[in-house]
Amino acid sequence: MNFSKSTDSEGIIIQQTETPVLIKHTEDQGARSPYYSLYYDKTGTELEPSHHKRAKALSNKELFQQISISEKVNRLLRNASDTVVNLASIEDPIEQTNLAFAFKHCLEELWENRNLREANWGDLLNILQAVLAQVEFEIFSGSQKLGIKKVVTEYLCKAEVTDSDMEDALGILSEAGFDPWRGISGKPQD
Amino acid sequence: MPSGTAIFTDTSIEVARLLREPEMKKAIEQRLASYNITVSSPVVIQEFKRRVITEAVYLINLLNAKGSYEKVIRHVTNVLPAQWNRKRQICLGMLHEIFENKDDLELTERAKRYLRTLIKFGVSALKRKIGHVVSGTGCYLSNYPVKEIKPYKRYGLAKKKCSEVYSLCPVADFLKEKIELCKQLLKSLSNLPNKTEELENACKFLQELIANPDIIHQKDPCLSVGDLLIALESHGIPDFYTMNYKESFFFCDVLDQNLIIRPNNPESTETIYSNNSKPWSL
Repeated sequence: MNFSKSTDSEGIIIQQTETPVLIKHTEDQGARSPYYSLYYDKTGTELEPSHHKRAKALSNKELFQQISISEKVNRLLRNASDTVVNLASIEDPIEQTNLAFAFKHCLEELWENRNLREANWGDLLNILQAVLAQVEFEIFSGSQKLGIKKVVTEYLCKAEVTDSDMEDALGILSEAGFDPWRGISGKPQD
Repeated sequence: MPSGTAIFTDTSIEVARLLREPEMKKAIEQRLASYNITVSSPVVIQEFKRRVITEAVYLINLLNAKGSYEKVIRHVTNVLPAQWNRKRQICLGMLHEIFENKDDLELTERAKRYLRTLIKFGVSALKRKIGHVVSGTGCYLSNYPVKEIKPYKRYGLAKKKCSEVYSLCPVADFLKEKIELCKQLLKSLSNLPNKTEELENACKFLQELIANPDIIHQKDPCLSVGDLLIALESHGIPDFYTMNYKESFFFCDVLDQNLIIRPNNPESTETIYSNNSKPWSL
């Protein structure tokens, strides 16, 4: 087989250095892979088989998808935060209940995306949902609303929920009159 | 040091404050609210870890092995021997009431998340609730953190035996400081007929302590005579609050404490035995 020198899309000279070998990528792409690589040396750069480029392109695509999902989570968090701030300032029991239901739906949407964030974030979300299930929204007390607001705006909305944040958030919920451990409390034999 | 009326809460009360049904929690908080100071101790924290955190790790292991919340609930009820089932502290059954209409897969995940929260943050939540912790035995293991090796999967529980950490734990020094009180307890215990198994153990332990206090850590005090250690740690606090009264009757009598017994039924009235009304007096 004869090969001549050529350039790739970035204008770098490609040289054949050894007897060219065609490799079919069956190990990493399944037995029916249609892709082959021909190894060349690029002058001044490291060898990069074409399947690596395809893999990189794919990971870029996944990255964009992740960014898009993260933006969605951030949007949901902003929504939850705005809702809970409004909730804390409302006294009318009917408006309060409507806002609490809206907040509950925000948390449900966030729960759908729980695996995009760290374990502590998902655990805090789980506790918040359990805590919210303990109250009749019409009689949400002022301290309970402030407690929820603080936990959502200062902890759940953080870029990362640390262990120390978790300890603080659990303490705030207790002091606000909630029982964060309600989900695993009761007579054990029941 | 804060002053005022003080009450000592033992392990049964502290576990119930965190993990029993709302009616029980309310009854306990009402009792505690009538005091200026609530106090507990390092051995209480260590017992909480040994009972509650160990059970949480057991349940998370079961959830991983069976992959199903419902199967785990059934498994624990059907497989765990009755005497161990009675000792359980964690109630997973509440989750399907809180998250009604959720499928087994979701309840399984929520149960794991709850248990991880308990394993990682249960002790700090307990300490926050306790209020004041006496220095007492200074139990090293009570401050030893639970290690998370792999979230929701693997946890490294702390050692249980004092003998494994004797160079780090001052429990032997504490017992030497309290040697006169221990002699007094031994004298009363020796005269006590029909001792419970725990009181028999305490009697034997005190004999060994007095005979050779320098090697007492070899007897694993926290593990073998927790009730005795907690009684010694509570000495000086006028009221002792518990749900397990069998041994407390004796210890409160000798240590001149009022005993307040919280019944297992939250609707039942608590029994208070003051210094002047101890029907069990020796």
